[in-house]
Amino acid sequence: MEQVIDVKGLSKNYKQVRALVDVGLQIPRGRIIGLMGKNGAGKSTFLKCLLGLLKYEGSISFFNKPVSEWKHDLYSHVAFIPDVSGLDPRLTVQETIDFTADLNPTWNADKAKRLFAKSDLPCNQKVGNLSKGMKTKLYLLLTLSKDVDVLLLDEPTLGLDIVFRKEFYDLLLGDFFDESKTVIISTHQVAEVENILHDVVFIDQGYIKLHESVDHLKNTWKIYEVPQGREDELLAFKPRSLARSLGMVRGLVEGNPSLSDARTAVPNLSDIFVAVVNN
Amino acid sequence: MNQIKALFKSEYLKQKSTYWLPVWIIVGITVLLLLVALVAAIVRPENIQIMGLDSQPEYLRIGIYGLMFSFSTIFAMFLALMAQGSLNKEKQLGSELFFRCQPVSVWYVTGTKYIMHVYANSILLVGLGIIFAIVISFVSLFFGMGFYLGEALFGVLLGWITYLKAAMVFGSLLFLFSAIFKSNAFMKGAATLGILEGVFAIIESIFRHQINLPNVFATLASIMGPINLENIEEINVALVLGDYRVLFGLLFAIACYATATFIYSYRAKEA
Repeated sequence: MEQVIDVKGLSKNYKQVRALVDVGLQIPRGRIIGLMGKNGAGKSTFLKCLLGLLKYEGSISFFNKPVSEWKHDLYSHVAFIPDVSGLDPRLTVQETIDFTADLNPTWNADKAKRLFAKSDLPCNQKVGNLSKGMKTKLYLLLTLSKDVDVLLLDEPTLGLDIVFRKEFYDLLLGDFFDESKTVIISTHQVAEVENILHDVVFIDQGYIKLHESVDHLKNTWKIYEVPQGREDELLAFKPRSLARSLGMVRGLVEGNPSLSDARTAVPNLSDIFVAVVNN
Repeated sequence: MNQIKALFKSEYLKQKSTYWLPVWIIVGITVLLLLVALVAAIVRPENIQIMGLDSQPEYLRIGIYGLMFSFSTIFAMFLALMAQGSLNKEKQLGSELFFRCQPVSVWYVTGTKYIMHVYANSILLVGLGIIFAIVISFVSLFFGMGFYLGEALFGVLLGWITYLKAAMVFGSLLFLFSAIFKSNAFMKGAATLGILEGVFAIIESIFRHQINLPNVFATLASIMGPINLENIEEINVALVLGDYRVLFGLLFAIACYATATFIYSYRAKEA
């Protein structure tokens, strides 16, 4: 599979704080990757380093070309939505659309027309007067109107209500993603993106703790539930997390051990994330 | 080409009111003065005198040059307002990442900002000057003092060149300050220059004035060239353009722009 992003030995320090430590990551085309971590884990720093927006140590390449050699041309292939909807409040919605269209050679006018026609964005209103949800939607529609290969989203739905969040991911899947695109979504709201991801990267304190496909994770991790009297049997499999309730004990176990008469369930990503990050 | 057009357009749209405010202020003052003159003409017509040109049309050139100079002081205040936010306003508004993540060269971005924030409002100044020159020329014709539109427009040109020279030096310096300081670039920049001036003065007094350190503000004013208010009677292109020092002004402006662009690019990496 063609590698779109290749990161080797990436480290970033903010004075005394180590934000990223020797990160290595290869991201192929046609995948949706969830970059997950707690607040301050290094997700935003990682994405900004990818785009060359921060100084870093190590090497980062897009399409086998170092990011330092791309300069502004990179943004013809890669789009980024930062964690705050930072559009210029002095421009109107229409002026912002026109500006982005004129500046981007990959702007798809037909797609943009269709996307904005479906939206309820008030074209003559100043961006500064829009609600946070509307601003995020405008940012997303501007980004989706470009024919880019890679989309980087940094906590894109932070602070949005559930209707906007659903609409956001529907647009992302329906109007952007196909097998030729790559999407990286940074979030700490694991449950929200669980169903759309192909791969996950767990990041904690600047370290990549896990990089795996979601299918593989769900096949190799299991939740076992046994009566509390059989807790020792469960502990023998070294569960990564343990919870007791109503006379039962539940453990998250890596691998597929045989435990007779135990109830099993497929864990969700949140369970695995907490287990991995809390070690 | 589309990209450059889009950058110019967006810079204008972002600052639309700041471009037009000095025009409305001048129009407002003019209307007020005309109303006062009208009332005076009605109440005490014997006190109203129309100044003649005494068959010397260059008076119109001199008068318009003076008028342009007074307009320029108002425009300069708004230039300072715009130029001090050239490269830091978007950071203050939280939209810097959006603009930085566009497929356009940083030199285009800073270049359009530099032109739009330092020189663009002079187009409105010259437009206003031309309107005044036409109106005054026709008033002169109406009162039988001759029609000297050419002289009036010449006065506009001279006033415009003087304004551009000031913008080139002080506007460029403010543009540089906007790359260095994250906010209030005008005040912080002026304070920095003041401190530099003070440090130079202390060094001079320590060395008993044996080393000739430059006077910061006087040097800046000198590379701008003379304003010529003292020579207003003989105002002409040669006087307005000044001497070779205006070339230093030009080099200074280019240096400010290039340094500001490098700082702006570097600052992005430390965001």
